[in-house]
Amino acid sequence: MRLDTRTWALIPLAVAINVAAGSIASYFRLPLYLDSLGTILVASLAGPAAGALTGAVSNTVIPALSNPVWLAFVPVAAVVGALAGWLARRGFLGSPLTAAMAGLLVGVVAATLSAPVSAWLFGGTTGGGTDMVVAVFRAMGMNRLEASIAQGLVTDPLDKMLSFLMIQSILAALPHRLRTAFPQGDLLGRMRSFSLPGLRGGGLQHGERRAVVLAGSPTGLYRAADGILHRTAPLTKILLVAACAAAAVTLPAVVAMPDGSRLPAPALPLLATALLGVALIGGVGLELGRTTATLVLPLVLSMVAVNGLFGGAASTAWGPFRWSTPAALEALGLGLRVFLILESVVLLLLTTRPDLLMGDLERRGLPHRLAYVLLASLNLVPTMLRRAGEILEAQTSRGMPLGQGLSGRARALVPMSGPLLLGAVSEVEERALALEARGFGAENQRTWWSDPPRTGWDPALQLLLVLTILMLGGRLFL
Amino acid sequence: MISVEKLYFAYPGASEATLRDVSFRVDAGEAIALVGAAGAGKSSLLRVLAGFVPSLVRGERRGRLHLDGMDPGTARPADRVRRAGLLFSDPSSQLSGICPSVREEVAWGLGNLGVPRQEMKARVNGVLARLGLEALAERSPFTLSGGQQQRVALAAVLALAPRVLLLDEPVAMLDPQGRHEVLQAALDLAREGHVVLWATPHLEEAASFSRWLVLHQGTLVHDGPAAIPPSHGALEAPWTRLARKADGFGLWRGPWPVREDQAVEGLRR
Repeated sequence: MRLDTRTWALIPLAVAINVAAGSIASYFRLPLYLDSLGTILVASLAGPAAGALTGAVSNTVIPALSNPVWLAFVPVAAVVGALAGWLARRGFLGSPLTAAMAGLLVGVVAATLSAPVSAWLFGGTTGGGTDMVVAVFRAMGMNRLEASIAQGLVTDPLDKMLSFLMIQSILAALPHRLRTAFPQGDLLGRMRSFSLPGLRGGGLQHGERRAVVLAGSPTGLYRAADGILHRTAPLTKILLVAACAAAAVTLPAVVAMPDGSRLPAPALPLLATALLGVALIGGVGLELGRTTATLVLPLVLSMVAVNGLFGGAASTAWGPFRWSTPAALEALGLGLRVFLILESVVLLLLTTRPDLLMGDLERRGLPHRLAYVLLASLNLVPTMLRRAGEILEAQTSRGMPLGQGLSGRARALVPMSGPLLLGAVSEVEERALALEARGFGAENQRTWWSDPPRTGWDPALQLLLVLTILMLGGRLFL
Repeated sequence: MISVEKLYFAYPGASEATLRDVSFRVDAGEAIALVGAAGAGKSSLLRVLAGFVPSLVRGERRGRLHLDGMDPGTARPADRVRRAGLLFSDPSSQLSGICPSVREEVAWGLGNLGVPRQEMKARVNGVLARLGLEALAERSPFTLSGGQQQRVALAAVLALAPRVLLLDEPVAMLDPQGRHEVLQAALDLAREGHVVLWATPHLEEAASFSRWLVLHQGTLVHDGPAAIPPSHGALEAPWTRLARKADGFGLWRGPWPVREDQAVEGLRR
């Protein structure tokens, strides 16, 4: 993929905007995500490939910061970015009306694509606030897929319409030179100016540096320490994730007893416990337990509850409540598979310094610009969250009401996100030139300051893990 | 070291050229202030000199340009970087944002150019010592003050050993202590043989340089000792303001002063 340096410099800013705008939306307790604002910005200015990359990177980086569930939606985020870029190229951002239409279309596509992922991978739930919406649709008699699609259609089109309108308004206000400096800037055509109330006003004024702390971990999941797992080669831990994924996909989660009843199979819980044991030896047992308990366990419980209460024929009834044990058991099986995979991902992220992980992957063929984008995105998130907090503080200290009721809060959201987007576009040229001034565009074989960690055990462990993956994979064909 | 003849530059779609008929020469070891108000064309001139036009900054460039023996606009990225280093005002947007320590941040550009590890370490350690950054070597660049970050950014550019340093308002966002640190570092580098071109709209800052290039609306209006020609008094330092007031009473002769000694000299006349 050949992108220009300006686009490479914009992508990390856009990913961080996705996270920060998403945090602002959740700060306002709105059923909107705004977590593809940055993706749509890049897609509009730099085309479908850059949009797809931004979406994919965004959903790869967020798991390292907070919630590994996002990993499953990488393809959906990439399609959203590609589609947004394609629509922008065809002039859909020329006017507010066509931008809203583009948002509607992207929203419907996103809802339709996300639904099978959440239905089949997570039993229709994702551990977030929208699970309640899914539960309502299940109670109305819909199956997992239908309920997931319906939930997506309630939230996604509205979210993407607002996002596209915001981007249209920002791009129409950009100076011609800034816009056309990007690869697709010329193709956007003449843009009808349109201002969402408050979107372009109110950046930070001098001296406004106090910040509202928004949700999001500033350090990511990585915990600095010198345990055996920290000293293990990143590749070994990546192979461990792959082995856990292979086990989760191929080993039985539920077994049938001789009397016809069904019970959870012991293999997956045993492996999950073994992983916890490994983490204990590596000195991060407590962190792994705490992180999986807060991030992954709610997802599994939500899966079991929604499917037990609303999925399939009732086996027990208490008053108005019906409980389907087979449906709950099936969801538990699925939950155990998801749990094992996510637990291993968390273990990798807890014990591997992101720059060393990327350095290792680069040596194994990951393009260095992609490694840069992943790392820079990860590191820019705290900065962007801080900036979003400052904007929030600045706007409210100037007397801007935070809004009452749902629509009032939604209107208040716009002046909060606009300065983030404008700030990113105006600082990207300097970032791009600074990268170029340090040889980012050079086509040399790269060299590094230090080598990734490695122990004497690594080659043997890697071989063992590869054999395990092959053996487990072989089960699929037996 | 730098030779510019009849340089013209215009951004795409712009009704007016950003640089017009700019010509000057700079020899090795010279430290020069590039003075001009906002929009005068300082940043554009530095971008052209660094070779970013037209590969990264789109626009039409005409005229002859030689920097250390070649036209930087047609050079390969690796050759360009080794000839001219560019530093901007915002330290946070110049650091790579991906390195966990100052040492690795300074080494990152060398890694991009494929410099072998042993040479990389020698050059990084040398530059850190040169700019007094050794005590910060293991710190995360994210935790440094603005002045410290700007010195790290300068170190990162210097590690690539460019002969020419193009500094675009490098202390605009720093506190007085940070300004002093970066200015001293730049003047020291010129004494060691680098060419330093320091762009600024502030005459007090420019007063530390003996030669000035003054840009006004894209045209070079002065190339010589530190002084603003009378017709471009819009660039004001406190001494300039004083002289302009004196001029109102018919008490001033000669070019506008920017330093105390020039003001005293002008009043004597």
